[in-house]
Formats: sequence, C-alpha cells, structure tokens
Amino acid sequence: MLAFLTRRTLASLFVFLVIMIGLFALVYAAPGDPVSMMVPPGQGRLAFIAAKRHALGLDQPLPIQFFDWFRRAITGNLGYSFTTSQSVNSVLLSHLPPTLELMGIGLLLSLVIAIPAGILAALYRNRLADHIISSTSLVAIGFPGFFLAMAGIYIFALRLRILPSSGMTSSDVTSTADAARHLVLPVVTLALSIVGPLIRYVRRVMLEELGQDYLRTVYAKGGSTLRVCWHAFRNSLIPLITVIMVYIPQLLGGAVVLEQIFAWPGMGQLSIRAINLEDYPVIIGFGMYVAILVLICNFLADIAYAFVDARVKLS
Amino acid sequence: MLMDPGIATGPAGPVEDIGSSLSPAALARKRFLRNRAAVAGAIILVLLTAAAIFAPLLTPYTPAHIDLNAVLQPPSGQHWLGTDSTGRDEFSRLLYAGRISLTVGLLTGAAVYIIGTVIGVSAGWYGGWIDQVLMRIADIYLSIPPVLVVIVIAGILGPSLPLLIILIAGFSWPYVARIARGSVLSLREQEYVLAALIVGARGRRIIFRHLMPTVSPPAIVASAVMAAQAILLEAALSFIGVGVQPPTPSWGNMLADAQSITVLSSQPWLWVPPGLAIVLTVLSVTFVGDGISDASSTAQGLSR
Repeated sequence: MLAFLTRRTLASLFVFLVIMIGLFALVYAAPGDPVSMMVPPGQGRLAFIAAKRHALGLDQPLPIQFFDWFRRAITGNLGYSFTTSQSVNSVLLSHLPPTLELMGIGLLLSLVIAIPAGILAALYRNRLADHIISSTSLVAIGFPGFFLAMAGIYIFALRLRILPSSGMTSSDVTSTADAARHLVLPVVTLALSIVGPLIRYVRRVMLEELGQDYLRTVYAKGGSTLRVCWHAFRNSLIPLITVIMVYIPQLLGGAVVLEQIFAWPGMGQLSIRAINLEDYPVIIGFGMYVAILVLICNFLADIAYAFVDARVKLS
Repeated sequence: MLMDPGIATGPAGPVEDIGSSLSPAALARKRFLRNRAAVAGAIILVLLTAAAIFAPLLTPYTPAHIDLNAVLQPPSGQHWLGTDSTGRDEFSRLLYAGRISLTVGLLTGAAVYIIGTVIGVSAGWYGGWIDQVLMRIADIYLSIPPVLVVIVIAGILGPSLPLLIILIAGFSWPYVARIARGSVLSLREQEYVLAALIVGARGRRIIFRHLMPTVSPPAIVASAVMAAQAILLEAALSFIGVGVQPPTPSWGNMLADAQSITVLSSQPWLWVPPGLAIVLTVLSVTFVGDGISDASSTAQGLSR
C-alpha cells in the first residue's frame, strides 16, 4: 500500500511539474515584454531596461528562471494582477468560495437526481421507465448548459418572475432565503449538465451488479426489491466515488461558463475578465489552481478505487 | 483510473435474424437503416451540411451585411429569422455559423480518430511499458477539462479557430485511444491473429489487415461522440468569448450576443434558433454514432 501511495504521489508531482513547465512557457509566450511595459519612455531607457531585467532575473538562463518562478509559484507567490495590483493568490482565493458553493451544491443535486434515476432504469431495464430515463439522459448530454440557462432565465425570471436572473444576492435584501433563490437557476443548470452521463453510469454499474449471483441468492432467500437494490447500490458505490472525482474538474468547466450568464462572482467570471483585460498573471494563476484541483481529484480517485475495492491489485 | 465516456455504449438491442446470405457490411447497413433515430440524425446532418455549404444560394444576405434601416426586426418573409441590433440577417448568420460548427465537428472527429487509434492500437499491440506510459498519459489528458485548458491557453495566446480545434482534439483523443486499445487487447488473443503471426505477417500488415476492421467501428463511434462534444465545446467557448471571434458568426457567439435581459425577453428569434441548432446538431451526431455502434456490433455478432 505504501509503495502504491508513493508511486502515485510521485507520478502526480511529475505531472504537476510538466504542467508548470507548460504554464511557464505560456508566461513566456504572452504578448508584450513585461519589463518594457514597466519602464517609461525617455533618456536612458535601454540601460534602465537592462538593469530592471537583471533585477528581475530575466537575464538568467531559462532553466534557472523556471526554477525561480516555480519556487515562488508553489509558495503561493503568483505575482500581482496587472489591473488591480493585488496579489494573484488573494484575488483567486477571494473568488473561490462562490464557485465552490456552486459546484458543491450542483454535484449534490446531480447525484440526488442521477442515483435514483439510474437505479430505476437498471431495475426496469428495457421497459418504459428505462426508455424514458435513458433517452432523457441522452438528450441532456446534447444540451449546452448555457442555452439551458438562457431558457431558464427566460421562463423563470422573465416570464414567471419567480426567480432572480443573476447574481448571488439581491442588492436590497440579505437573507438566506434570498441567497437560496439566487442559487436555484445556476445550480439546476449546472447539475443538469453532468446528470446525463452520471445516470448512464449509475445504470450501467447497477446492471452489472444486479447480474451477480449473490443478489440472486438474496432474492431466493425472500429479500425484497428494496433490499436487493440496497446491496447492489452499496457495491456500485465504489466506482461511483471514482467517477465523481473525475467529474469534479468537469463541473468546474461547466461552472466557469455558467458564471458568465448568471453574473456569479466566482473563478469563471474572474478568469474571463482577466482574459478581456489581458491580465496574464491572473490567467496563469487560474491555470495553476486548475492543475492542482485536477491532480488532487485524480489522486483521490486512484486511492478511493484502490482502497475500497479489495479486488483492485495495488501492484 | 476509470473514466466512463458513458455515451459510446448504445442500448444493446435484440439480435434479429436478418438472414445469413448478406455480408457483414450489408447487415450493418440494414440494421442501421432500421434505427429510426439514427436515420433521422443522418438526414438532419446531411441537410445541415448542405445548408452550410450552399448558404450563399439560400440567402441573399451575407452574414456581415449591416442594415441600420432594419434593426431588430421580428421574423418575416424578408428576414426569415429576423434581424439583430445592427440589422444583420439572423438566418444567414445561422447558416454561416453552421460552417464553423460542422468544421469543428468534422476536423476534431477525424483528428481524434487518427490520434486515438494510432495510440490505442500501439498501446494494445505492443503492451508492456509502452502501454503503461501511453495509457497513463491518456488518463491525465482525460482528467483535464478542455474548457479550462482553452481558457488558459487561448486567454494568453489570443483565441482563434485553429487553436481551438487543436486544443479540443488534443484533449479528446484518449476516449478513442482507450476504446481502440480495449479491442486490440481482446483481438490479440484471437486465433486468426496468432495464425497470421505464425505465417510470418508482421506489424503493419497485421494492424491494417487484421486489427483495424474490428478496431475501427467502435473507434469511429467514439470519434463521433467526441465530435458532438467538440461542437458543444466550441459553442461554449465562443459563448464566453475565447472561441470564434465576432464578426465571424458561430452559434456560440450568436447566443452570447443575445445574453442581455431585453433580448432574452423581447427578441427570442435571436437566441432560440442558434441554441436549437446546437442541440439538433449534437443530438444528430450522437444518434448516428449510436446507430453505427448498434449496427456494427450486430454485424460482428452474426459473422462470428
């Protein structure tokens, strides 16, 4: 087990290093020379630029520059935003909670829909309920979340006027109920964007599990459908955890897009604003946060998969 | 690590007795034509492609033609889908935007098929450390959502359509590679492959003559699924402004233009058609993929 953990950790660190090299290359590829942008025009400009380059270490060989940058980056020093002069880390951290809130509740809701729907489809395989659930989930996969969001705003905010169209809170009232009302449309559209594949997944693992001999034994001993379901579900939970870990980065991707429509003040809005303002340090910082999230999720998925299921060999 | 594309596996229908005198290809065709959703999807795709190619013949307006005397007009005989806030004809924009989406789908599908089968077949056929390294790389690519990659890379290098296609394809091949690898692994144990090896057939001949006919159909299906995903991705990325840039119309940036509350509530002709166009295209590609998947698995089942 320890060897397995060490190997996986080392592999993750290696991938992290590769991604960081990629991000560093992007820093380099960013249009414009950071130093000549800092230095005002006038007498002695060239000498001044050379001095500044030296002070910033930009005259060092590339590998040294990289490790310098890398050391600063992993200690949380990602530079400063071009536009607000705040440290990139504090900008990113302050936009993290709204996105996490959206993702967390969205994930919960998608599971609350997908697990019963998937189980139902598996139990009534090739019957009406299965056909309805399976084709709905197929259609859901083809629906772009942002189009669904626009339709949702049109119906519930503009026509029926029962939900707010954007933001996290109303400007004049602050209450939990108000915040909850603002959550409904973003969370539902986000959940719907991953619920299709999740339903299909739950259906498949349940079908696999329901075909096992031990469940026939449960039936034979007089166990109810509910009991059989419970047994099967408990065993399909293991792969489900892995899949959830895989879907978390996808969920972030979905949230980034939806935040634009719902004016949700999270990482997505931040990164798109940074792109429009050509605020490169913030974009690079966002890239590093994404890399860390992806690697952690991957690592946890591997661990969960290996830990919980004794059938998985660790070697 | 496990990742379930979840989409490629169609419902396994009952194997019908279609008669044994037909070749596997003919059987597959017959089976495909029985799948109504797949046929409908294929017809819609043909129509959409034709509409995109022959756009100049279908509409008298160019997508960039601004007419300030005809701003925000509702659909009429003259402007079938109305006009936007600068008087551009929405119908012609929709047709020309279709070129972008279909190009993205087609190029991504083709690229992903080639990269995916090459890597998947290599991994499956050679095995050992080659397999381990390739599949580990595939896992990593699989776990990074392309939306986020494009935001970071296109955000810095500046958005463009070629970059978009390269990045989407670059992050979609692992699905195909995994499926190709899976079929090769099972084929490796087949007697006819062993026989080919024994009579002296080597690498290229075995791969193209003996492996590809079986590896190809599921790989094509997976590529179709990825093509559908690519169309969705392009739309989403153009929607948030890091994809196709105006004035070039794409379904995604047309929706982005229609985001304001006033347009949403009083000019539905500006946002409903591009949204439905995306849904229609993506579902058609998905259904066709499903149809091919069912058809080819039946053909194999009968020929075995």
